[in-house]
Amino acid sequence: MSDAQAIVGALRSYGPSVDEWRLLASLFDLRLPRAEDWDLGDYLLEQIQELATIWPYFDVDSYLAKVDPTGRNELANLDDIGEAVIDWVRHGAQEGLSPSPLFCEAWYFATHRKSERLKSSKEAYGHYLERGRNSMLASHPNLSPEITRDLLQFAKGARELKPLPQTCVLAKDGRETSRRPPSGLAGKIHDELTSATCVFNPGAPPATSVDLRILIQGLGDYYERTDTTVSMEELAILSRFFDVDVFYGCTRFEEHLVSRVRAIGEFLSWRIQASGIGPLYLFEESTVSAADAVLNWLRGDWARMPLAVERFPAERYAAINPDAASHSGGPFRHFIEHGQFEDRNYGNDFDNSFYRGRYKMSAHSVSPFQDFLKRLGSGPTRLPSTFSVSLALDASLHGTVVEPRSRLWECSTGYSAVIDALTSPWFAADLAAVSPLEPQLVAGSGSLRLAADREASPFSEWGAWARDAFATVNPDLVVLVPYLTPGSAEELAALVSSAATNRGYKPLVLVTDRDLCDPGVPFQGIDVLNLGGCAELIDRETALLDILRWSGVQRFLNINSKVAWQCFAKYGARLGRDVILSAYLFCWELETGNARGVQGHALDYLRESIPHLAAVLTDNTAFARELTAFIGVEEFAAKIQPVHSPLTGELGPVAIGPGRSRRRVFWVARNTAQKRFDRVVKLANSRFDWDFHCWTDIDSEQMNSLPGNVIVHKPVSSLSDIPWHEASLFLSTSDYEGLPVAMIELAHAGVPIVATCVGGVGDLIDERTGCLLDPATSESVWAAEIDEAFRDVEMVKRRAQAAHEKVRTLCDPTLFETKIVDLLFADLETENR
Amino acid sequence: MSVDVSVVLNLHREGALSIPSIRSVQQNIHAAQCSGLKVEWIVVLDTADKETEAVGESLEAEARVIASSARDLGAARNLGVTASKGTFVSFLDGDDLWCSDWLAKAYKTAVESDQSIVHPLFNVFFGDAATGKSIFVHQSSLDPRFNPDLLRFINAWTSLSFADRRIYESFPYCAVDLNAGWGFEDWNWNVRTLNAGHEHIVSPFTVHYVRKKGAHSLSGMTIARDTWVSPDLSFAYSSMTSRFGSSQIRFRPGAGENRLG
Repeated sequence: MSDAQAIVGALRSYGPSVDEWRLLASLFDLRLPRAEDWDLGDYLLEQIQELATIWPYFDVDSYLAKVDPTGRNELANLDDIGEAVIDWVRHGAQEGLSPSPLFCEAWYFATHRKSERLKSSKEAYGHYLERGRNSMLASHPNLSPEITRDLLQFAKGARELKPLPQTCVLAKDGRETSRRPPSGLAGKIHDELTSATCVFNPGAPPATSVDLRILIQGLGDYYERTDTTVSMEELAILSRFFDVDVFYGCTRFEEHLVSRVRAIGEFLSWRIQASGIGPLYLFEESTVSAADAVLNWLRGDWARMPLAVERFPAERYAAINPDAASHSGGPFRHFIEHGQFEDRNYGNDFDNSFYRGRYKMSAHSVSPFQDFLKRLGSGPTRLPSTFSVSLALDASLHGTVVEPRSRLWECSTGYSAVIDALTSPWFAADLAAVSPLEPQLVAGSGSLRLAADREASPFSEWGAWARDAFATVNPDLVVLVPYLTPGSAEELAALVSSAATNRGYKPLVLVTDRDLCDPGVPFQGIDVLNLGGCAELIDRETALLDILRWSGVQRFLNINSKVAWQCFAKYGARLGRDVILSAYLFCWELETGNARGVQGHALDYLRESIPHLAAVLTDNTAFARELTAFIGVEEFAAKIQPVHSPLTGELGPVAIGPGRSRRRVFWVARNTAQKRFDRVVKLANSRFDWDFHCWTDIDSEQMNSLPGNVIVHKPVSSLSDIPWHEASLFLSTSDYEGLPVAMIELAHAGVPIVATCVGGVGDLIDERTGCLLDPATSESVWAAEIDEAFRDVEMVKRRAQAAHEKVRTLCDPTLFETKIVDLLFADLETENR
Repeated sequence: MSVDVSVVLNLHREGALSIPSIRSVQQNIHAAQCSGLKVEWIVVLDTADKETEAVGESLEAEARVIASSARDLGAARNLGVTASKGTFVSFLDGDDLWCSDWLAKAYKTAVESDQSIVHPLFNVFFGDAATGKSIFVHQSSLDPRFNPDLLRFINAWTSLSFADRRIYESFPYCAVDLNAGWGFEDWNWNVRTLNAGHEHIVSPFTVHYVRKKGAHSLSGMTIARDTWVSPDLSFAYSSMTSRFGSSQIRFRPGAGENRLG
């Protein structure tokens, strides 16, 4: 609950009198409505409600410090601001107490007693509210009238803003120290308020607190007009780049401007042609309010910026760029509309091509100049150019005069000292002493530049980000996955992570290829980091390389990440010396179309990578054999290890019922070429006495062409959503498979399985545990084989039982865990033993 | 006789380009001796060509000249260290120059700060018409703005360091193997020594003039081959970051939003 809400709540239950309402209106500087149409209480409550920030109109601590506790029984409750306000209305106001830290009753009375004819200090605060503040009478020994007024005005204008920190400190300190001059931080801020150089114009001579006052006042105006907020960073930008003095100088409207900040509004409403003699602004919509314009500028309307950074060198720009000279809007407009995107430089202050190169900006639709300005005040400042260093060094080398530092350089950090050092006498003296030994040192007139040939790449940010995140998790193993959607790679990543966790190791899943993280993919208790936000693939590769090299993690397992495969293939030789790289490969992918060759990561990267990998895992022995044959190098064959996926127990046991007159064949798969739904249809066409229930996704055209004994259901997210107890058998018709998790689960549940003998299926299904179909034979042959296999219910039950027992052995979760840990943490496991 | 500073000048195939470097050493030794320092000079001729060998032999009156067949700059520096007797060692490559009073200033900095590895404030690169002259600024590892994170990407200090001889003995330069993809022996050395707690500081008002020879120089070839800084650094670096603390590490803005789980 905000202070305002607390006050409103308390006032509603208290019910002030009309006089008390007037006091409140005076206290909070609220406007009173016209007498004839007011409901004073509700009206004022509404206004108070809007005052999210109540202080410094009412400050509980300050008020309590002034209250005489004698005769006040309810003081204990006064730390509630609502109660405190009511107490002030009932008692404090009559006693002449100000609840504001900005007002000192005794001092006000003593100072203005004679001039204002005050009779007692009890009249002081009322006098100030009614007359004193309008007459700019000082309210506090430590505060000028202007500052007090500005603080009040600012707090009112800020509305939803928190007060500026320095005003808080100042006010609090003023309250606590009472008559003493502020000290410490408050004193420093006070000094800044009263004697600092102008906030607006860093180059201007020292100004007075008037600048700050006007700034605050002006911002208050903006808040009121736009009902929005301006951050301190934006304020910093504003103060750097809006040069009021320069504006005055070229507009000559100074005498007509109410205040310097108002100048911004005036400035923005004027269209000033690019003449090269002053700040230039191309704002055209004069109907847009000044406040909107300022905010637009701050928020990204950079093409129309009021450039006071440095006077635009229109003549020089036009001389270098002839097309700018003939541009209808003049040179500056040419720069704004074209030049900055074409890496034509804005004077000596900013080097577009340098900036674009150094900070790896590739898209020419983005202006380096705009990027630089946007970053000011919101993070580490980037170097705008090396011109200043070059000029300084040239000056030392050739004895010429050094140009003063530019404002852009003032804004950037770290290198101003370079110029100071270069322009100091020692360097010139040393050059004079050394150059006779090597005349080339001072030969030629080419400018010196700041060496940046091995500058930090933007990828370093990712590396630092990742390592910092890694430092929090401190993982023993990083599992690299391309993205996170429901699928086999994600399931396996979760299983491997769980296995590592169960054995006391800390895994972390790193998404590498795409910025795609389905929150539905469960990684309970596993930390997941997303690297997929890098814009370009090459960025992601370099970022991952950064992590592989420098994260300090020693084990990485790649599960289907293309970016990781690229890194392994290119840099494996060197990476393998410091980190343990492993990979998990699923089955080949089959190319679609007539050319039915294989493709996939194994084909693309395994041969190059395997010398540097510690282990290559697969989920079935058949694929492991194929990979071994593919590699063709015996010494690496031992690295390829089948690790069968573990049972999850997703399905409960399914009771096999008596034989049915119509056999029910269940088929569950994605409708891809590899899964061969077409063979299901052909089988259905050959056996109209069977029903084929298929859970897959097909289009309406395909649906209309299906025989009547094929019933298509919507795909399900879980096997348990399918009524397996109604099934006669599960059929798999794929051209290629690993060892599908679905088949493992169904075998464990006791569902009879008929499958084409491809890939890793043979690890589980044979004539003892199910019915294997030759993918090369016709559907009618399949039908006969299925008939033969299912003619005897008892035989079916025996096979199902055998499959159940086999899968329990083959896919034992404990075995999986042991194998994974033995392979991925071999070094640590050996140490532990 | 105790020696304060051993100068190790590494010559390879610089030929006439070594003459300014030799003069720079002579200039510096003279200045250092005027400051009361005792200086010895060691010239290492590593598989030098005839011209360079002749230059080296001409120095035998004022320097100890050692022949090496290492064909490796790091190994040649190690050899120079082995031969040196000075409390401190200062390296110069055969075509570069020091500022006129490098030895005296570096010695003063090392002794006064009680830090053991000193670098110049500036390096002015010259001699390559294609790239022109440029300047590289060294930053002290004690500078609050120094970010060790950058050492992953930038070699923060050049190889022409000035340090306590025992450090060079404890941390000999590793070999460069460009064919295997490993390079930057000086970068490797900088990280290893920093990791071991030896601060790299900058001597104020000092400059080295480093000749750039384009793609045919060792550094040129190293960069051209996409070579990595030598191995065994990742673990060293991990512990280095912990030494400096996470506050030195930059965050990627907004990256936390990507975090799941």
